[in-house]
Amino acid sequence: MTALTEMSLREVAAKIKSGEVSPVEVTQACLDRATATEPTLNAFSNIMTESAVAEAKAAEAEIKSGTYRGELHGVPVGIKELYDVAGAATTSSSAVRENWRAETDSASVAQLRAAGAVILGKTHTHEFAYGISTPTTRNPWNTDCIPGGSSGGSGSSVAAGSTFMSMGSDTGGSIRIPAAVCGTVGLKPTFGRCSRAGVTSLSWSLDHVGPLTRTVADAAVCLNALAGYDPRDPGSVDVPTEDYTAALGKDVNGLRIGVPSNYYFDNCDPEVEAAVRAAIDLMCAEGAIISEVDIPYPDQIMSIEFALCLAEASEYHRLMLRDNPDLYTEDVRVFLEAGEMMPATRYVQALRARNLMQQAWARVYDDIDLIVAPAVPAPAAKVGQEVFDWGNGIEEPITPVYVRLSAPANVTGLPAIATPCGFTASGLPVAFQAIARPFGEATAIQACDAYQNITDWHTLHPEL
Amino acid sequence: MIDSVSKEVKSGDIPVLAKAARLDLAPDRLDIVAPALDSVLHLFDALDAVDLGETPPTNSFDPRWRDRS
Repeated sequence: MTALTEMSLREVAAKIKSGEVSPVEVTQACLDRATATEPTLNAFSNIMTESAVAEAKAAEAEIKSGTYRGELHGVPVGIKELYDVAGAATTSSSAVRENWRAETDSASVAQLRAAGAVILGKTHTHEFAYGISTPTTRNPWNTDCIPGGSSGGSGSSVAAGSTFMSMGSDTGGSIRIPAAVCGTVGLKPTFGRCSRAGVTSLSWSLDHVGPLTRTVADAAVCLNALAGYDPRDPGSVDVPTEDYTAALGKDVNGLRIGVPSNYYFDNCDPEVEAAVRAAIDLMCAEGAIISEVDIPYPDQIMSIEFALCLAEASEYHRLMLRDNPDLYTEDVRVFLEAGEMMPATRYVQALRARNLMQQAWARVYDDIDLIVAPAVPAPAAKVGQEVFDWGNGIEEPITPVYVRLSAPANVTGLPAIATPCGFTASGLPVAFQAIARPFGEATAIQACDAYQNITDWHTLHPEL
Repeated sequence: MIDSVSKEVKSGDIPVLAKAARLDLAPDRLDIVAPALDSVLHLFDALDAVDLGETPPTNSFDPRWRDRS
């Protein structure tokens, strides 16, 4: 029998609904799993044992009384340390915010509670989400490797089996990067689809929130709970939501998939490229219509991403940087300082170029429904690794390596799902991402779920 | 003194830029910040290759009071 903690969210939800297992049993199994793996992984900043058990007991009583709220009811989830959880610290995994406590729940946490989820604990982020390595935490597939970031604790906890879903945030790939290198699914919704109210900002114009899960179907369940307009978030967009689970169980026959002829496969690990192209070939064999697409403005993608992020992050941190500069970790501090010295005109120039890029990407989608490409160009880096050597005379620092394939969906705001599609010879996960039209989450879910229904990469678990 | 010929940002450039930003930087920060700033400013140079014409920025101001009915 599959251990409870190795099940998908939907599998365990079915057992909770039928009464085969109780939310208390499931929550205790997750707590036990976390207890066993935390000495190695350190995925959590705060395991909320007492409140989680109380919430599980309440869910159990409610379900027994005949009120079943849906598939998240009684299911333990993790919350990235950036999110406010009432009564708990929101440290952003930083000494700067060591004593910062939340009085109310963030929008996402409130939505998850309303759906009946059990908040198991908070997961580590790279400090203030400003990085891709999450130094506090390790990758369950190889503890000598990073879990990616910035939602590294979320990727690590889901892959390890301590939670069935953990929330992430994605400014330059911070949901999709840890999902890809930890072998989980990572869903970055369309900009404005899910409220960011109560989530510590990195860059207001690029931040997205979304779930990391074991399956695409699980992500669809979570998106049902999280999607919706929220006037408290100035980036929120008032577009009707839909039942994203309606996209599950379909096939890819007739879906028009664009495969980039430039940018996404440049300086890409051969094992990653082979796995992603094999996934595309499989979708083609299942009836998807494949065509090549040219990615517009490839030389400006990272310029726009970093010009917006640097300026906005430095402004968010302006007072904290002056009050407590020594409390920041060095890699975050230096870019907060540098961001204060970039010309304002560069920021506005990036906003103007972003406008052109949005228009150009819209034209790319005239003839396709989705782009499928590598989620990240390399598997998990070793802890302490500073560069990737591409073997062509180019050594690239790890931050741009992980960000450059994620950034297009942040700059354009398009929805994207990282989906596991294989392993390297050394046993590290590999993933593709499917990028859909604005508010086209259902199309991406359909394609990625169809892929998971004919493959088994997502059913494999790390040995810990 | 700012080197107005070379595009490279050097540690000697940082005090003036920090002063403009009203940011007090200890002397030991100059050699750390300079290469970081230099690298991002070079990254931004790619924006100059785009003819922006009359393209406005993507941000826009919405005068509606969204948090009130």
